[in-house]
Amino acid sequence: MRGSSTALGAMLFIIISTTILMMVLTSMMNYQQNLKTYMKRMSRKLEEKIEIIRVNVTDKGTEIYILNSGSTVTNIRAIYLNHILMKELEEYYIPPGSIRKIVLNNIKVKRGDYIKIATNMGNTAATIIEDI
Amino acid sequence: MKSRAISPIISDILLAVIIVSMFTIIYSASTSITGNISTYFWGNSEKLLEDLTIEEAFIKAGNRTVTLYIRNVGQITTIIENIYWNNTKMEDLNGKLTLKVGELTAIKIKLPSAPGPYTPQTVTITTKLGNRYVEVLVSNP
Repeated sequence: MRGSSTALGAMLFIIISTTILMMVLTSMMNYQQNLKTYMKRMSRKLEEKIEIIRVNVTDKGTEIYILNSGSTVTNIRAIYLNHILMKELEEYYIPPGSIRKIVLNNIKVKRGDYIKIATNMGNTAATIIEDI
Repeated sequence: MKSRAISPIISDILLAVIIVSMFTIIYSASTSITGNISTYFWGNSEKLLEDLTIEEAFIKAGNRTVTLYIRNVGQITTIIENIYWNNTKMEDLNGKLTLKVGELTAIKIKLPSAPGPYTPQTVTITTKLGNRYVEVLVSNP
């Protein structure tokens, strides 16, 4: 049995150092993964570009035409009229290069009104009604 | 005078005590260091997933009331701690306001004084994870 304490000590040391190393490596890998996700999100945010190209007033309300001039799919989340939230949308996607219409029922905008739309990434587009 | 060495038993105990204390010191130091490293990476990795945006806010010169529309555009649930207006704490939310991913909230703020026209106003939102979102808004005439 002589010398076993040295072997046990060495084993214990290996176990402890491996555990510590695993702990550090796991947290570093998690950080790296989240950093990658963050970079992807930022890149998507930069790729997104929306424009309000036309606003029409009809009998039903106001039609807002939005062009996705970016290179990624955009998800419209909110519409503001004169700085007040008018409509919150859940899944309103516009493919890149496409135009889509949002209708604000029973709301008729007038000259000088300010319309703003926001995407799920935090990007916005705004316009002031000039001719209606 | 003849000097005598310590007995083998005492020497064994002494050796064991020395080894155990050395091991304890090294172990606590290494766990403390690695713990700090782990906490740093875990904490910062969570912070990376958090993102808030002031989607809309309108400041009218001469008006003390402002409504902030804040949306969680990040990938984790966010707990808002405080809102500062020109570096003055306005809303002491103390973590009472939780925003889920994609969620929008409207917060009404009463300013200490009405801003003049075209004056920049700095809004700072702090979160429980330690992120700070600073936005400069300009009051409309």
